[in-house]
Formats: sequence, structure tokens, C-alpha cells
Amino acid sequence: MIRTPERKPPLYLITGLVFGLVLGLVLAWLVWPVRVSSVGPSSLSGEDKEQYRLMVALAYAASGDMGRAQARLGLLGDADPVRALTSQAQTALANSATQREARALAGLAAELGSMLSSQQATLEAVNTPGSAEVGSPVDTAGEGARYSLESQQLICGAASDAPEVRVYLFNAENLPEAGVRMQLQSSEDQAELTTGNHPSEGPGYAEAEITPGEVYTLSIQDTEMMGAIQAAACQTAEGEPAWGSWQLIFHAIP
Amino acid sequence: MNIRYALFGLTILTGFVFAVYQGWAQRPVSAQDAPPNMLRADFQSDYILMVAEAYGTDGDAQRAISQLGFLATDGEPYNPYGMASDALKFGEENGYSSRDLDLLLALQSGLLSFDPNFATAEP
Repeated sequence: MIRTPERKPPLYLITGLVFGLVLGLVLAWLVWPVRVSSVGPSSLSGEDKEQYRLMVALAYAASGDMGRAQARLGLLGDADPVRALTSQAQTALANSATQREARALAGLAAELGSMLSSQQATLEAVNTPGSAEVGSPVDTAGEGARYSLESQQLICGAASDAPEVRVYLFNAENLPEAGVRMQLQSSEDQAELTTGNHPSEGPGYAEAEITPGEVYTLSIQDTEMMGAIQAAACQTAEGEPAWGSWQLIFHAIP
Repeated sequence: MNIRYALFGLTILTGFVFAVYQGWAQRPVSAQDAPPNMLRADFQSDYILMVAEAYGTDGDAQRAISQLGFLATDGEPYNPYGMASDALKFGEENGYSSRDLDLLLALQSGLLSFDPNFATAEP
């Protein structure tokens, strides 16, 4: 009878592999770890993050640039930047030597919180069909009106833009008409507009910010022209929720 | 027998190379609690720009010098004027707006006129 030799599993190969792995990891993680020479603010210690956050707030207090402040805070990787700012402001408030810092931190926390709430409301308006349906402005010009509506369009700009009514007026010769007085009115709000106050947009242009939830009427030279004007949500080209602006173009009736 | 030793050595080497690659390139030790002087150059410049923005409002050079100490190594002398100069150079090379460059320039000038001596970072 012929006996076939018993084949043993190559345990020594597995042992060698494990030995090599352990040796390599000890070397790479403990003996000679990678020297990190350029990190982002999110890698700073808690105390250093506080100093960085404070500088963001002081810079915001100086420039008022919310977009930049938000981007800078984003680098810190805080789960809730508003809470982090508020908590730091409260700590600073307890020390009489850091009142200026406390004000800057609290100011940024308040502004950022307000902006994020507004963005959230816009997001809900855009993403929840029917929850905040807003119709288009309605042409209510009656007899005696000097102008007629040529076009109306919802313009979607940047996500940080406030909702506005933007009016372009042209005279009978199709030229922009400056110095025309208009009123934008709601039950809570009233604004006076005059064409030509924004030269960069042309002499026949006027604009006014509107408050979401309010319903406005637009009058030109004391004659009501448009009703049911409301802030409407839209999506920017980048797909972000935003408040749109109503662009209304009027021509004088010859 | 010699082949077995050679194979054993080869598996050790394979494991070692794989582990070193993983440990250095794929899963390096995290850089948590890194000191501010290890911030990337663009983040350091942006921090100095923040100091410049605050300085543009309060004009307090002593405060700006103290704020710049954040980027220095603890206990080591640092040159606030040099930091502002470096940030200005970085801004010029990387397309900062003219307003930001003006702010950095104002900070640089303010630091030069205030105190040319080096400051020391608090340990």
C-alpha cells in the first residue's frame, strides 16, 4: 500500500505575512508617523478653534461679509456653528476684558442663525409642493393708468439674495423713464420707489425689498398697477433654494 | 528548506510593504490638535486677512500683533510685520481682491510704524 504524503497548510507563510504587517504598521504609525505639515482649521485643538472662530467674528464685525464668514466657519467643521458661536460668546461675556469679542461672537451668531432659518424656510417652500404656493402678480391697472405691463418674470439670483420687486419703466418713445414715483404697499409695509436711483441698472429702474408672507400692491404715480405681489421661492442654477425677485416691465401708454 | 525560508522572507516583506503603504499613504495618523503654525499657507494667509479686517476697523496694532501670535510657535519670537508681508505676497500671487490687498497693506504699514521689534508667542 502506497501512502501519499500529508500536505500541511503553509502556516509559515501566514505567520510571515502577519509579522510583516505588524512590523510595517508599528513603523508607519508609531515610529515614523507621517509628518503633517499643512492642515486645515478643522484639525486645530478646541482652544485654537476658539481663537480662529473669534477672528472670524471680529472680521465679520468689520466687513459685514456673511458669505465669507460662513465659509470660514465651515472650515472649522462645527456640527452647529451657531451654537458654537453662542456658547463662546457666553464664555466671553463672563469676562469683562472680552466684551468686544463677546459682542462680535453674539452678533455673528444672531445674523448667521437668522440667515440659516431664512434659508431653511426657503428650502421648505421650494421642496414642499403646495406648502407655500405663491401666485404671480396680477395686473390690476384700471382706466386712467398711464402705463401698461409688458412682462413679468421671476428672476432667480443667488441663494443669499433677498426677495425684491424690480421695476423697469419706459416712456412712449421706448426710452427708460427716470424720476417716476411708485409705491409698494402691504398691510404691514410700505416703500416709496423712484426710477433712476440705481444708475447701474439704467435710469428707468427702481427696486424694493419685500417681506416673505406679505402681499403687496404696486402703484405708479398713485395709480394701482399690480396686485398680489408676493415673495416667491425658486432654485438657482446650482440647484440651491433661493428667494426670487419679480421683474416687472412697464411701458407708457401713448 | 531554502525555498521555505525564502518564501517566509518574501511574505514578511510583502506584509511590511503593504502595512507601510497603508500606514503612510492610505490611513495616516490623523492630524488632530495640530498647532496653528501647521495650517496650510492659504489658511494662514486668510487668518492674517481676518486680523487685517479687524485692524482696519479698530486700528489697534498691539491687538493685531497679539492676534498674529496665534500663528507663531509657542515661546518662539515671531515677526508680525513679516507675517503681514508674507500674507500680502500670497494674496498678490493668488488673486486676492484689491480691497483685501489694501487691508493687508494697511496692516503691514501699521505694524511697521508701531513696533519693528519681534514679539514672542505666549507658551
